[in-house]
Amino acid sequence: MTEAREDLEKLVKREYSAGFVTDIETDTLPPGLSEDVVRFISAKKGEPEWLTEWRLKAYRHWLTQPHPNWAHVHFPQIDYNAISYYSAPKSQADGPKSLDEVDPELLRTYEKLGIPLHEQALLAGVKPDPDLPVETAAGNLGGQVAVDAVFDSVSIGTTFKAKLAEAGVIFCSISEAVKDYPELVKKYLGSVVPFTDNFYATLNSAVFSDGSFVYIPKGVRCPMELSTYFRINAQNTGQFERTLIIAEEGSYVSYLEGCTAPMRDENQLHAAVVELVALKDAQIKYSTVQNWYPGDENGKGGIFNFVTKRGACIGANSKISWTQVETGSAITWKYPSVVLRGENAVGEFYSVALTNNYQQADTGTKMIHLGRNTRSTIVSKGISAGHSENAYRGLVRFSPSAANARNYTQCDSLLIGDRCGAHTFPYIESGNASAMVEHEATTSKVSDEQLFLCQQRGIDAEKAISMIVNGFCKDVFRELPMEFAVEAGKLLEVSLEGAVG
Amino acid sequence: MLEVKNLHASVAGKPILNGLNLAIPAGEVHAVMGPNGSGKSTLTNVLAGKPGYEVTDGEVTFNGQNLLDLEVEDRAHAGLFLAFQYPTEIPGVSNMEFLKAAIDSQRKAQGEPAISAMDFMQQARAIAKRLDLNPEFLKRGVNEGFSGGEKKRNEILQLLMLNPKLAILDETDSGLDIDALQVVSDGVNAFRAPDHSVLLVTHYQRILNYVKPDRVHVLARGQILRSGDASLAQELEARGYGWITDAA
Amino acid sequence: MTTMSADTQTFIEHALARSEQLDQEQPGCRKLREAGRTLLGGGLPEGRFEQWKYTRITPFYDPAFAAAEAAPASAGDKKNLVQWPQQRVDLQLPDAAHNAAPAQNLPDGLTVVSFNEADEQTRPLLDQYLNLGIDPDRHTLNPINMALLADGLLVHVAADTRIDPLLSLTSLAGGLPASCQRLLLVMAPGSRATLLEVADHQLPRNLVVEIHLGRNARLDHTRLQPASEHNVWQLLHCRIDAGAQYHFNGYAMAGTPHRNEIHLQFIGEQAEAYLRGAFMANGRGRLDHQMCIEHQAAHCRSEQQFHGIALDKSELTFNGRIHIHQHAQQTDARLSNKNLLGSDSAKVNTKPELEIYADDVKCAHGATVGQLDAEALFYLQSRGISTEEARRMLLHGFVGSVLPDDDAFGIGDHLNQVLDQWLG
Repeated sequence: MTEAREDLEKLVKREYSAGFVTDIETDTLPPGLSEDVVRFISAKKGEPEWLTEWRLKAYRHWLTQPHPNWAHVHFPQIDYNAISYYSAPKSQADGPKSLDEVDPELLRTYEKLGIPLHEQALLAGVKPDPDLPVETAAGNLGGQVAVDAVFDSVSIGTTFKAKLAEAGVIFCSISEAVKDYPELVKKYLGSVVPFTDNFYATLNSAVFSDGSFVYIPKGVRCPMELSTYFRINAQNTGQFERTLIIAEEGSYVSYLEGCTAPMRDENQLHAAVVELVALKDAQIKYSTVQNWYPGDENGKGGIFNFVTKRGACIGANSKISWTQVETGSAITWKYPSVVLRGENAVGEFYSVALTNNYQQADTGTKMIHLGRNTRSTIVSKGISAGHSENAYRGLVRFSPSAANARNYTQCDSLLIGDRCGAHTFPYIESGNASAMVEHEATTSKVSDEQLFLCQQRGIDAEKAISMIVNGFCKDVFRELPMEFAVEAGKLLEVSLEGAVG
Repeated sequence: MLEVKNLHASVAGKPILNGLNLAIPAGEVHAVMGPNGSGKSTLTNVLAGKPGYEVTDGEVTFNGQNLLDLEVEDRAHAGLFLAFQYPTEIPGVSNMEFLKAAIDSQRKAQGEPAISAMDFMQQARAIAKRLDLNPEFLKRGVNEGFSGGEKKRNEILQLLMLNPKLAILDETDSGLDIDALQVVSDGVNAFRAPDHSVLLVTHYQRILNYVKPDRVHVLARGQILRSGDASLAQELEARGYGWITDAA
Repeated sequence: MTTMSADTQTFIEHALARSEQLDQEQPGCRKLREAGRTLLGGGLPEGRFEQWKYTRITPFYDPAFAAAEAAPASAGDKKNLVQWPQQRVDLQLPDAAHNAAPAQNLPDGLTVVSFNEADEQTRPLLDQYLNLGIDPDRHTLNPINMALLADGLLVHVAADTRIDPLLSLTSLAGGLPASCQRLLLVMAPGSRATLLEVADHQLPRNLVVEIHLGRNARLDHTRLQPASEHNVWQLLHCRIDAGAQYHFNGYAMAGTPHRNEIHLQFIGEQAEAYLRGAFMANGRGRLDHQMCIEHQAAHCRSEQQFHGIALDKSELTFNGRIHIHQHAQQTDARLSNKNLLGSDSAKVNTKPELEIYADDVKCAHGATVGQLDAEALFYLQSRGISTEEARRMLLHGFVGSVLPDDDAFGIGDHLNQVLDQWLG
């Protein structure tokens, strides 16, 4: 019984593989938050007055908000004046002419992140030739993927712009979008997540520094996967990116997001906002592999990942699908949600959340059914190991107008070891008699019998655990784009190291 | 191939095996029979190295190696296979994925490259067919929702795929109808070879009509009380275990 | 709590004054009241917070609880709600207007005494068990009961004794503008009894039932709570020691509003609890049911099955929490909550929660909210049954599947009558 356990214990102790720090010159604001800081950020980005005012309104509102304490997570109070709200790599401003001139540290960063070389050039801000044929790419993410990278607070560059432009797709940093497409930004920014939404979303509205902007015109199927890599690099900085995706009538887009951060002893704050808007017959598929630094095996350091993600299915027959694999962060606090307004709209949430050591996750979704015949599916798989705490928190709400709405929720927890916690807090509110909700949850463990069977067939304990956990997560991995599914499987394997204690 | 000398083992501090001796030469099929609670499953689990079974005395050599020193998976790599009495379910992990991982880990231990997906599938399909299993069966989760008979046939499928040196069958015949018993026995007979041995642990003589043993041993009170040829099994069937256990 | 409203502050002041007054009149429950006053002195919560997300808490701070003067007595409406067995012991909960009825013809091994009349034999039981293990943060209205309790009832079943007659618990109505009541039932190791509780709430009430099941004790507890026009809060707190068995069957109809809190604690190994029940609401009725099963010991088993029906403009809230502590390995805990919505103006909120800190456990919960099975309706109609009749039959069936096994008290008949009346 204990032998297998001890084996497992020995296995682990692998270190966070994305935990490198990039040593480059940055243009960083000293720590502290005030109206001046908000104005500085807005001015630095050359924003129009309405946006500066919007930020200031958010900041003033934020000052009146108490810190939320309802989640099943515990952490010391954050000193918001000890955080720097703006940090940009200097090399971007200098505008290197070729890869040779690019800060080699930055290039190495991308290499470690697995971003193909010619895309690295684009990301590093090398000016010309933005659209090399894909075939010449030194590496490939498994198909055509356009990448926007956000490094600390600033979007470094976006690839495949011209190719996307041919299809009419806009994919750029939100700062550029503010300059180039002010009407779109003005119309939709804050339309799904208003600046009054919650403590962190309000903070983000005041100080967001960059993020990605996507616009898919009517009837267009985006010709490639769009992808953003987020990375927090500088010390004592927060990252507050803002993503806005608009899918016009009959359009389709699949968007991937990956996150890493260096290993640091102190906690770093990441408070992003993502807004999705799907009009009639439009579909948005949003996938996340979140691998922020989780802290060390004693719970020191790691990212506080306090994120607000919400999609609005405004039009009839629209569909928004969230898929997430959460293995990183010291604390994860996020509930990617869908407001189902249009008739027959569909919302989906597929989630794997794995916590190990002293990580804490409080994650889930909200499906707000307003329209007739709206449908939603929730599949959540939580895996707790070590001393971690893993909670699913979800809300399914049928308003009286949601005739014939349907929800199906499956919520499973897997425990590895007896020092961790697995929790389920599903809120179900139904106000329509013809609507139907079905919720099921189970809790199980990786049993000694399963481990023994695998080992008797020659499979070692580490591989066996990873196989069992992958099997447990299969329903979610199926929903991920291919290249992400592979990455997700590997991530679980790494994150589980030393999982049994 | 397998030599067990003076084996003492206990479970949760309670002695179950009390000086068991057993030797199985290469190429032979040995049946170990005994009443309930005689220590049959303890013997198979100790040989496979299941956690929770404590060896307090004695030794076991397997092809010259000290078996008791090896980890569970190393015993498998050395060629020891246990067909479980109650095969465990692993939800979400497909049979195919599981089998391939098992084969590759064993090949890796022998310094061989991983099996190609093509070869693997061809082999698996052929063996599944022989065992009267629908190939769809390979895609299902390991033992997940399998009937009792399917679980046992799945054990034999793994036996034939992994092709070990020693197969230990723990009450593989229990819970099988006559057709399934025939299929499973055919599988075991197909495994028989000059360099393969079988340790067949069973409560009933039934399976021995299909798999002819070279030797039959009677296990009771944690010891082998009597050994003989195949006719001993028939005698047990006719007279029960009492005449041996009482005499000892 | 720093921003308590003036009304709540006034309520607390009056409650504290009334509590001290009770110390003069009824010295028996002094210790409990003192503890209650300390808690009340810390303030009372307001607004919406997690445990009071769907029901407003302030209406339960009813000034009537702190009023000293008696209201005109209204004779309790002695509806024949259940079939009372001949063989029974009638237990009446005392309050400021009613003394405990003197216990007569008690079977051997059964002790019944009011808190105020406890003697040397029974006082140690009060000292040991009263208010034991009740979390004031979770059961926020218990301090009001503690501070304003005039008298309570202690029932003790001796070790290894089986009480055959039914223990039947009722509350007298009238005499007061509002009343706080409390039962402490202590089942010594190896004892066995059956408790029927018919709560006919004719006035605002704050009721606490505490049950302590000793090792290997068994209690069969049935509770019927008819609809009431008054605010009712009640807490059932049950501690279950090793090997004990608790069978609970609870049926509640909505009030304006009703709030039921049930908290079970497994404190010894291999104990079992089986809970079943139905909640029904019509009109503008509101019922908020909060379950918490706390597994603090290993190898215990809990099974819960609750069905809810919300008609008209009513609102049902169900919160079913299973909390498994780190050492409660080999726990087997299950919860099922199914709800039917009878109209688009009715509402159901349900939250089956799991909070798990042990890995070797089997836990599952399920919840559904929907309407009557359309297939089943169609099937009945195709056999010539009218829509109304088919609906009625299916609702009876829905309630019928969570009735007590033998339904000796005819609760099923009563619930069906109520449903038929509601459906018109």
